[in-house]
Amino acid sequence: MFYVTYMVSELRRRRGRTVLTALGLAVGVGLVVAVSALSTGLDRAQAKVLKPLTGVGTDLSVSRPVRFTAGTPTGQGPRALLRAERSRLQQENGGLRFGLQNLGKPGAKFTHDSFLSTSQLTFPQSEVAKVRTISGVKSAAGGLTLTVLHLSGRVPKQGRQSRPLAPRQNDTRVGPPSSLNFDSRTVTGVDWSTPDVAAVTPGQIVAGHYLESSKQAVLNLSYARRKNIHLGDTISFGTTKLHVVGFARTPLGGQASDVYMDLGVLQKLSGRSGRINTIYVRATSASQVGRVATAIRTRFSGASVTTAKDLADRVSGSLIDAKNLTKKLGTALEIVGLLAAFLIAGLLTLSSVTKRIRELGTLKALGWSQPLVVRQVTGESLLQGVLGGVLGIAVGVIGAALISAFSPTLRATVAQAATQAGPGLVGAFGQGNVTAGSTTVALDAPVSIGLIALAVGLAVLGGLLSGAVGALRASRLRPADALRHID
Amino acid sequence: MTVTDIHPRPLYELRGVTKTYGQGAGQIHAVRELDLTIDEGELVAIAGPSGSGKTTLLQLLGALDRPTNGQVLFEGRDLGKLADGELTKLRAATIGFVFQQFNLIPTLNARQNVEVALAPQGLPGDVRRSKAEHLLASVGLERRGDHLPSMLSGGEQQRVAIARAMANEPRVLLADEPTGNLDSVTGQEIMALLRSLSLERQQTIVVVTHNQEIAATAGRVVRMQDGAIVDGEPTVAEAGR
Repeated sequence: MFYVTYMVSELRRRRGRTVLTALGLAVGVGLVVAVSALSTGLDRAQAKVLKPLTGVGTDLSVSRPVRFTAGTPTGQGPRALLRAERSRLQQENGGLRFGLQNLGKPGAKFTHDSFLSTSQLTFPQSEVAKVRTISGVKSAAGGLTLTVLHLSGRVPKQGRQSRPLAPRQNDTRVGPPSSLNFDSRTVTGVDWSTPDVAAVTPGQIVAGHYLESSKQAVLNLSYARRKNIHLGDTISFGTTKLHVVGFARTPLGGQASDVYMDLGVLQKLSGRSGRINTIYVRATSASQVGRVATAIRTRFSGASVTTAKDLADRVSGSLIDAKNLTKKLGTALEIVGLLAAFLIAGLLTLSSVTKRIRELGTLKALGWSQPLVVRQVTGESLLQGVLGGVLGIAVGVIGAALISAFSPTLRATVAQAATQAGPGLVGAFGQGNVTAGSTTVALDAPVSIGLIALAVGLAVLGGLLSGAVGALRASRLRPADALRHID
Repeated sequence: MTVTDIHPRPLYELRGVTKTYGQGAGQIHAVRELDLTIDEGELVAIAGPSGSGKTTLLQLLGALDRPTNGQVLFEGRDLGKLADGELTKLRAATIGFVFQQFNLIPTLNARQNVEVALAPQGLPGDVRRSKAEHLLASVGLERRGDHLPSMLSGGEQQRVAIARAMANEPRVLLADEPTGNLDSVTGQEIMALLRSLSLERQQTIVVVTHNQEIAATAGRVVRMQDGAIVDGEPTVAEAGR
């Protein structure tokens, strides 16, 4: 206890120096606390934005995108559809050529729906069973997403040349005659018996309820608003009518279709019975995702596997900028701040020891052993470190509280992925569009017990390091020289 | 018939002791070729002008330094050959120091300054405090224990320093210009205190001083000049003792 009394009295005597050392450590420690809290806040904000991405109902989605030529040698020029792929796509979509005069008599009203695969090819639904056998797969389900071209109007008079309804390469005469109404929407067939692995999950329903029968449909909320469709309304595909029972909100970056309906119904409507173009896979654990993805790529030639992480990587905006800045600059700031604090503490302790040489010499003359003198000097530094730690925590907590109080808003943006097939076609994740756009999230800076413990640990480390510098100086003192020293 | 040897045994024996500082052209011989014997219970004054090597000699006697050449024997043990730890133990158990500048720790009160010397013994706190108060009482400062050095006069500060030096009941008390910062009356009081304590406790006292009056009160005066002993005769005081 006497030694502690002595330490405290010494620190009080050199009050200015003690406060300066403690403040130096406090700034360094406070910086670590504030930046770490900010980093945690950014992590949380990022998790908040990304959580929906990992909650879209699947860990991976498997599809079979059409393949293109490499384009120019640099890979930056226009790319063309491979001949075999074009052939498969044409086969998939049934040629897309038909005569309008075949829809009825000239002048008669008509509606016609074409179900098109654009950038994805279908494959047998039996592949789902094969995926389920892969180690690490918890569940898997098939889905079919198509673009529906809805054509309505009156059959034109004889003599007008029919035109293809889908673009052909080098054909500028694209699109329907001006007297016809043309609309397109993306439709996804869902195996609603396994809602946890599907393009739309019950968790995404914001109004109404999830699919419960093959005669129901769930609409994307923004699509429903755009088309002024309400719950209980009916939407038609040819002669098939579906009741709108729910609206779903697709999370930022998630897969988005305009309409979700029963998989079997869509297969039948589109003439693709027993065929799907996406397999939704849930792994047994997050750590298995990479392994499962590799296994699928190996077993299924030409398969494209997209993981939730791939989506997360596409998030950008001020949130991600801030996160990257904190990761790089924040870490550097922490290191520089701490090093500066330790250096200041070390130099001040060294200076303090130099000013007390005669006192330390007196202690040695009075029979204090070298370890005892070293312990005394180190103990004083340690106390300064603890004081610095307490101040540092206060500085850090105040800094973090200020960040939380001002709660700056950060923006997360997901850009629509450029599709391989060019503009106007659907996105890469699964078969549907990836929801592009921005969302904002408020930033906070939480200070955890662990962070406070880290701060105390750093302050104590700073105290010990500076104490070690002083102790080294003190231990080298020869009593006779120390007593001769003029303060 | 048996003859009893009444001559006290030597506590210190210095044989050809030289202490040199620096190297080459800047080399300084603080003391050179010293031969000196100090007996147990003696009160010896080391006198001489500034720079004559008095303090260096005292530090060699106090095991604070090692000679460059020669031997400093304490009870037959060569201090130059002892390890640092052994010298520390020797200082803690056997030697007490009094300094010209008092060398009190300014942030500790008088009692705590005495406790500084007792701390390495690892005594319980209450025992240590009680012993410190008793020591302060023995130098007439029983009511000044809670005073900081800055609140004490020069004489009182030196009394605290003497109490601190006596804390471990040393066999040797080494005082470096103990009256140097005091007026003559207070100086005489301090010397009287040192003498009475040494007689009471049968201690050996070596006092460095350049004050002839103070030196005259010692049993023997060792006069130094330019690092060498020029005279080491008993004083009138010793003759009349």
